[in-house]
Amino acid sequence: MILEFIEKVYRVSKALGTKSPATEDVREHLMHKSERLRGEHRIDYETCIGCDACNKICPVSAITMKQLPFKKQNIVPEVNLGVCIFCGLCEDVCPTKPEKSIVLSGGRYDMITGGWHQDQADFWVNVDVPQSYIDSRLEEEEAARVKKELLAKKKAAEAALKAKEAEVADQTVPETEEKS
Amino acid sequence: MQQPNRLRPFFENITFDREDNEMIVNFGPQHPSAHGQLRLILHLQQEQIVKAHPDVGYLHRGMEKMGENMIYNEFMPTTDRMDYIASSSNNYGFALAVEKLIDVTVPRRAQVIRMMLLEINRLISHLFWLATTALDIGAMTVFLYAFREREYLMDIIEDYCGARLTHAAIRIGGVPLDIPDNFIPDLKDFLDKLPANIKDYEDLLDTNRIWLMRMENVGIISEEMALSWGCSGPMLRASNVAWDIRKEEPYELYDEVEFEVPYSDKCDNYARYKIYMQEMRESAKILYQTIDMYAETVKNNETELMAHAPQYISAPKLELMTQNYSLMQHFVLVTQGMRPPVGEVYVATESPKGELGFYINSQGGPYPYRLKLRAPSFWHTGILTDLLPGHYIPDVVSIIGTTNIVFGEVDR
Ligand code: SF4
Ligand code: SF4
Repeated sequence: MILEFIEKVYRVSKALGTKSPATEDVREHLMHKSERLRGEHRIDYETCIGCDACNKICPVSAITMKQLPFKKQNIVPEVNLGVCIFCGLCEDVCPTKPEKSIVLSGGRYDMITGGWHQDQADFWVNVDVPQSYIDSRLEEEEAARVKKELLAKKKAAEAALKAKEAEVADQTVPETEEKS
Repeated sequence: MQQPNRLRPFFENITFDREDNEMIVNFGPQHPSAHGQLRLILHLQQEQIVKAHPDVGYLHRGMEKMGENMIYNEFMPTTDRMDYIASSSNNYGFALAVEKLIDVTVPRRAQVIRMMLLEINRLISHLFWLATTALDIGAMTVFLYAFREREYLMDIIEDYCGARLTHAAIRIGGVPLDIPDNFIPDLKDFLDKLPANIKDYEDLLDTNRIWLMRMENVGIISEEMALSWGCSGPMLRASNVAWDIRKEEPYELYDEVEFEVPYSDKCDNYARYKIYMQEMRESAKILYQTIDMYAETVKNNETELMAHAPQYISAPKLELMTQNYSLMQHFVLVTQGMRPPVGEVYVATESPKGELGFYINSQGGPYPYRLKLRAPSFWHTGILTDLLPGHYIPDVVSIIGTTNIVFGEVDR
C-alpha cells in the first residue's frame, strides 16, 4: 500500500518535472519531421544547366525562368510559392548530378507558420546571383571567346599556309615534269 | 407542397396542413456531417423522408478536361485531389492505366513498395471513415482514437514521400524513391499495435446501445439494389456479394499475398461497419507479407525502381548523366511528354472506397484524347435517391456516413 503510494507520488512528481508537449512551439519543433518533407525550394544557380525542364513539367506553372546575362546556361528557375502545390515533380525531372539544382525535400516548412511573410512578393523563391559570380562567368566566357578567336585565327593562318604550299607545289610540279 | 414564397408559421398555414404537408429541407451543402459539399434536397412528411435528391457539383474542378490538356506525367498530382483521404490509390490507378496503355512491366521492388503504399492508404482511409462516422453519430472518443492512429500512418507516408495528404508518391512506370531506413521498423511497430487498437474501437462501439440503434437495420441495401446502382467495394460486400477486384482481377502482386474478402449478408449500416473493421485487419495481414517481400528483394539485390522503356520513361539518373542520348530523350519526354500508341484502355483498381477506374483513349499524341474517371463515391451518392425514402432525418446522417463518400471524388 505504502509502496503503491510512493510509486504514485514518484510518478506524479516525474510528470510535473517533464515539459508538456503541448507547450512546444510547433513553428520551430515539429511533432514529426521527415527528411523528405517537401518544403520551400532551394535552387543552386551554379550547377543548374538552364535546361528549362522544371518549368515545363510544373503542373501549375509556378516556375518562371530568370534571365542571366550569359550566353550559355542563361536561365535559372524562380518559384512562386503562392502557386506551387509542392508536388515535387520539378525535383524529379532535374537532370543534374550528384545534387539536383532544384530541391524541395527537406526544405523549410515555416513559410506560412513563421509569420515573416508580409505580402505576396515574399512568397517567391528568388535566386540572387552575386555580382562576383556574374563577373567571373562573363570573364570566363570572354576568355573562352578570345581563345576561340585565337584558335580560329591560327587555324585560318594554317589553312592559308597550306593553301600557299599547295599552290607552290602546283606550280612546281609542271616544271619538274618539263625538266624530266 | 409548401410554397417557398409564402412561408408562414404552420399554425397559420392552413392549406399546408390540409392539403399536402410535404416540406422541403436542404441538407447541406455546408452541413458538418455531409462529408464535404453534398447538398441533399429532402422532401419530408413529418420526420419521414419521402423523396431525396442528391445535388452534386459544388466541388467540380473539371479534372477530366484538365487531364486532356496535360501530359501524362503532369496529371499525376491532380489525381491526388480526387479521393484526398487516400491519394496514393488514385495515383496508382492512373499510373496503372497508362502502364497498360504503353505496355511496360514495373520492377518487382517498385511493385512491393506500391502495394505497401496502397494498403497504408486503405488503413488511413478506413480509420478516417471510422473516426468521422463515429463523430457524426456522437462517439467522440472513437474519433480521437482513430485520428491518433491515422496520424502515425501519415507520419510513415511523410517519411516516404514528403507529404501527408497529397502524396504524389507513384510515377508512371514505378516509384520515384526507395523507402527510407526507418520505414519498415515504424510500420512494424504500428502493425503490432493495430489489432489491439481495432479491438479498442470494437469494444467501444460493438455493444454500444446508441451505436446499435443508429446502425442496425438502418439503410438496408439489398443485393439486387446494390448491383443495379453500381455499388462496389465495402458497400457491395456488405450486401452479400463477395467481390473484390484485388481477388477477381489481381493487379500488382495481389495474387501472391494471402488475404480474405470479408462480406456479410446483413446489408445494413452495421454490416458495413463490420466490413470496414475486418478489412483493416486484412490490410495489416497484407502489409506484414509485403514487408517480407521487400526483404526478399533486398536480398536478391533488385534495386530497380523504374521500368525500362526508353521510349516512354526517362532513364535512371545515373544513365542520364553518362549517356548523352538518354539525356536528350529525357528532355523530350519532359517537355513534349510521352506518346503512347493509339488505343484505349480501362483499368479498374480496388480503392478503399470501391472500384476506381481510369479510361484513357489515346490517339498517339502526348495528351489523352479522352480521360474518364470512374469514381466509386459518385455511384454511392446516386444510391441515396433510392435508399433514403422511408427513413427518418437522423438516419440520413448515419447512412451518408457508412456510404463513405468523399466529395473530391464525386465531383472530380
Ligand atoms: S513542386 Fe510542383 S508545383 Fe511546385 S514548383 Fe515544383 S513542379 Fe511546380
Ligand atoms: S531542371 Fe534543374 S538544371 Fe534544368 S533548369 Fe530546372 S533547376 Fe536547372
